Amino acid sequence: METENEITGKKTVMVVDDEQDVLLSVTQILEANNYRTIKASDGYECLEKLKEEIPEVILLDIMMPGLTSREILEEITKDGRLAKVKIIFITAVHSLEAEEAGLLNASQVVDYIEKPFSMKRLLDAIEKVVTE
Amino acid sequence: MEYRHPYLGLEPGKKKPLILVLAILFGLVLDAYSSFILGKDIVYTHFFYIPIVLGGIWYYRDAVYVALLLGLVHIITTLIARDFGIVTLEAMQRTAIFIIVAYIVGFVSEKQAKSLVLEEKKRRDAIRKSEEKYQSLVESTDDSIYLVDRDCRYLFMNKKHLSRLGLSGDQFQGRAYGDFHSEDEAKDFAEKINHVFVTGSSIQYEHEGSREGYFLRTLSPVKDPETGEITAVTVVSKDITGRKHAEEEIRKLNKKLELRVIDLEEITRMKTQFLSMTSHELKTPLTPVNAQLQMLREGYMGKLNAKQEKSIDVILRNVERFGNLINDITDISRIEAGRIRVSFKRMNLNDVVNEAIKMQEPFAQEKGIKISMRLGELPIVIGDAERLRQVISNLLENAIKFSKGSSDVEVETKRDGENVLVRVTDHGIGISREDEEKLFRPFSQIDTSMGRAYGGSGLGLAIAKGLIQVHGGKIWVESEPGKGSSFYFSIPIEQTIEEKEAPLLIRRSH
Repeated sequence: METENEITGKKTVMVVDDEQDVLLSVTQILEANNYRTIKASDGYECLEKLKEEIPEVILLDIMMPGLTSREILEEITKDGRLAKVKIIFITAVHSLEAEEAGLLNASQVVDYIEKPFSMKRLLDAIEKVVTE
Repeated sequence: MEYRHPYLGLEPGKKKPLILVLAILFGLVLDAYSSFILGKDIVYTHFFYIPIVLGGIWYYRDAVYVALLLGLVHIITTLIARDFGIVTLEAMQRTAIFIIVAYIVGFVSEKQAKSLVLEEKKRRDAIRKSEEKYQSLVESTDDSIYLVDRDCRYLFMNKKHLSRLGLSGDQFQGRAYGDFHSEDEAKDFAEKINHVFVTGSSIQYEHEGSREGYFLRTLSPVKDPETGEITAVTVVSKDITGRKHAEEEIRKLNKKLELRVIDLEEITRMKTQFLSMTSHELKTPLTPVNAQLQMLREGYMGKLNAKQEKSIDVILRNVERFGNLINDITDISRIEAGRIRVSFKRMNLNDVVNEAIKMQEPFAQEKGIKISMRLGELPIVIGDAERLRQVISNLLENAIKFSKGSSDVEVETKRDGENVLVRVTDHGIGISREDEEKLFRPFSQIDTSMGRAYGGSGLGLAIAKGLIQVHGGKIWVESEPGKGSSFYFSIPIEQTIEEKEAPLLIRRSH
């Protein structure tokens, strides 16, 4: 995987969203902007795919069937291999609700984008993370 | 009450025949002694009468009669002494003088005695009146009042209590509390009476009668004024049955209300949850629509011609409006439920104003409107910058929307006493005074047709009001129809709201 990244020079972004159309749209935007993407439709798939490959950024939805965002977050933060992975929430949940739910406390969580999102805002956020 | 007069005896009016007889006998003996034994018929003998007369006068109220009687005795003894001979003129004169003197002395003494009696009567009247006063006090109340001794025997009771026990007059005499109450009640009462006797202090308790209702009883000790010994216990018993029943009723109602409140809280919670679900569910399909449109617009799917671009702009603009509407509805519902979420931080309101102007400037330029600023020096306030930007944006949006032609929109900030003040002025259609109040209510664009002409959900100002109130501030409008409106809001500088740590940069996507 790292070799692949080194070869193409592309940064990898994992997109986790239960809505296929959102998943498709976000990956379309990212790929058009020269990112490599990993798609996951729920928490289980997300964690499963993280075992195989470690992305630079995870775009994580809130309110998905299966594992809750908190559970996913816990799994990621306690996994030493994933310590460098940054998480950006992209969700229709109001940021203050997420804050109240304690989802924004982890240091790996670096940004919060509310749906419907602006393309520019999304790209800026990822750009900021990967260039750090 | 017994009263013993030091001179007049037990009853001032009562005659004392024995003393009178003794006085007369004593006079007779003395007179006989002076006349027969001494054999001297002299004036001095009459001096013996003086102590007798005085004693009689002092001790006996009808002193005049004493004097007359003694005079008569003197005449008789004189007659006897002279062998029933002719009474000499001299003797008659002496007797007459004596009688007159005795009469005068008796008269004066009688007067004095009468005035003493009168005084006594007055005293007794006063006592009686005072007693009447206490009695009326005891009788006029609706409370039962009674006096019991150590063995709970009744010493006194007012009419109210008499009738409560089904008694009249003196029938309570010799009867005890236990005669009218159940064994348990009597036992409990005896314990309480004993407690008062032992401790010497009053007690108050609620008593549930076995026969009738509830009573609030106050037991107080009655102390002998001289020895301080407790001689009895006064019981004041207030019927609180009505109050008790009312309390019961209130308790029941409270219970009901509590359940209702719990229901309402549950409904509010469900409403809020429903809204956040609805908001989430509405935004979910909007997200890919918005994303796809943006990609189209940016030429991700191939180059667009001018007409296509324009078409997508229209769709995008309305998708955005739709998104804002969802946010507005969520906001107003949260405000109405008192559950608006805010994140307070230290902030400079001018920064927020600048940001809002920057956001609204493109729309102003579209209409050829210039936004002019007069930003004063402001102290730091504590507030939710994002929410305040929302308020200012809304005011600017309205100002631009309702401006006539290409008139200017003014924004001013300044310190106003203990507040920071923001003013947004337009030179548009203005608002009539009656409509000024309606303005801040949800869904209240003054004229329903205006909603169509000017767009907007009619929620903006209601949300603004809610948000400013959360900041402890005020929002209002001053307007002249046809000339324009000035919207103001102020936020107190002294904010006690706790500063919250901002977890990260929170920005609404737009």
